[in-house]
Amino acid sequence: MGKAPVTKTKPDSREPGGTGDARKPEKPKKSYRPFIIQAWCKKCGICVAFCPRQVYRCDDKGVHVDKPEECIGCRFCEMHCPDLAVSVQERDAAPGGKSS
Amino acid sequence: MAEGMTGLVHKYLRHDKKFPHIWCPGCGNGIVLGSLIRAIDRLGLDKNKVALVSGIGCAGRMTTYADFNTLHTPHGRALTFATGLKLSREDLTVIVIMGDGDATAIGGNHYIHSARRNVDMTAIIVNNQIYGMTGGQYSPTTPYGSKTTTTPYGMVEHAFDISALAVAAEASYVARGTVYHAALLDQLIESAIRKKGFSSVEVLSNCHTQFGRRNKMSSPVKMLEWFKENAVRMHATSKMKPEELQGKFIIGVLADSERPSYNEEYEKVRERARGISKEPNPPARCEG
Repeated sequence: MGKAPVTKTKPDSREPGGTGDARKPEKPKKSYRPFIIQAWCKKCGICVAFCPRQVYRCDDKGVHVDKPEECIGCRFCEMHCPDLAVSVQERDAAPGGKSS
Repeated sequence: MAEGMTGLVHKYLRHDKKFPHIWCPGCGNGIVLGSLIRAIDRLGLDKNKVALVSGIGCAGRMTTYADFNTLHTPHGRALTFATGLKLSREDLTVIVIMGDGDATAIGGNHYIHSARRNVDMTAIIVNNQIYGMTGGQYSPTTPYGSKTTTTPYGMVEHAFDISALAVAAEASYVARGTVYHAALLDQLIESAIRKKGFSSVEVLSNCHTQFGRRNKMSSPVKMLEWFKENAVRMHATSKMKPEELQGKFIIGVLADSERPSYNEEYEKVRERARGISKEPNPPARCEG
C-alpha cells in the first residue's frame, strides 16, 4: 500500500521535472538594481536589517547599496521603506552575467 | 528616477509638498501610505474618483502627500465627513485614514456607528498604540502594562480591540494587518476597498519614538521584529489555545459578510418617498 503511491507519483514528478530542466536555460535570468533616493532617505535602517542578502550597508554618511549583484528582487525593502526612498529596478541580465 | 513599485507609488504623490515627509525615520505611516497607493493602483481606480479623508494625528498627514481628492477634517470627525461625502457623491470611492486616538478615543462613537450603519467606505486605522504627535500619552489601545509619559509605572487600563469593536457593530469587512506584513496589507486594503459596505482595516504600526523608546523597542527594526514574532494568522488561531494567543496579534480577515449598505438602504427610502409623492391623495389630508 505504501509503495503504490510512491511509484505513481514518480513518473508525475519526472515529467514536469524533465520539462523544467529543458526550460531552465531558456528562462531569461533577471537581475535587479536597488537604488536609494538619498534626498528622501532618513536612514531608519529597515532595509539594512531585513534584506535577506545584506545588499545594503549603513555608515555615518547614510545607507548605501553595497552589493547590488546580490539582490534577488524580493522587494521587501521597496514595500517597507517608510520614506518611499528605495527603488528596485528590474534589468534583464546580459548572457555574460556580470557585465554591468 | 524611481522605478518599480516605488516609481508607481511616486506617481500618486504630490511632489510639490515637502519631501522627505515629516514622519520620524522608520515611521509605519509611510509603509501604510505605500500599501494604500499600491492597492488603489491594483484596483485601477481613477485618481479623481478616490476621496481620501483623514482626521488629526500623525496618520492624518497622509492626505497631504497622496494625490487624490483629499479632506483633512477635525479630530475624530473623519468618518462623519466621509459619511456626508459618500451620501452626496456616491460615485467616489471613499477611504478614511485615522489613527487609533482618532478612531477609538475622540471619534470612538462615530466609528462604531459608521460600522453599524454600514456606510459604503473603507476605514484604515493606523494603530500605533499611543498618542505619538502630542508627546506620548497613553491612548485607548495602549497595551496593559506599557509605559508611556502619562503611565510611567505601566498602563493600568486594558486596551480596546479596534477590530473586535467593528465585528460587534457588524461591519461588512473587518481585517487586521501590521506594517511588517506589507504584502498582506496590500491585499487586505484592496479587498476592503472592493467590498460594499463599511470595511475596517486596522494596521498595527510602529511608533518607536514615543511607544517603543519607553518599552524596550527603541528602533523601527525592533518594533517590526515585535510584529513579526507576535503576529498570528487568522487561520492558524483555530489550532491554538487561548493561553497561547495571549499577547499575540491576530492578523488577516476577521469578518467578511454581506449586508446591505447604508447607501442601498437610503436609495430604497428615496424610491419609497418618490412613490408616495406620486400618489395623489390630497383630499384625505385636507379632511384630516
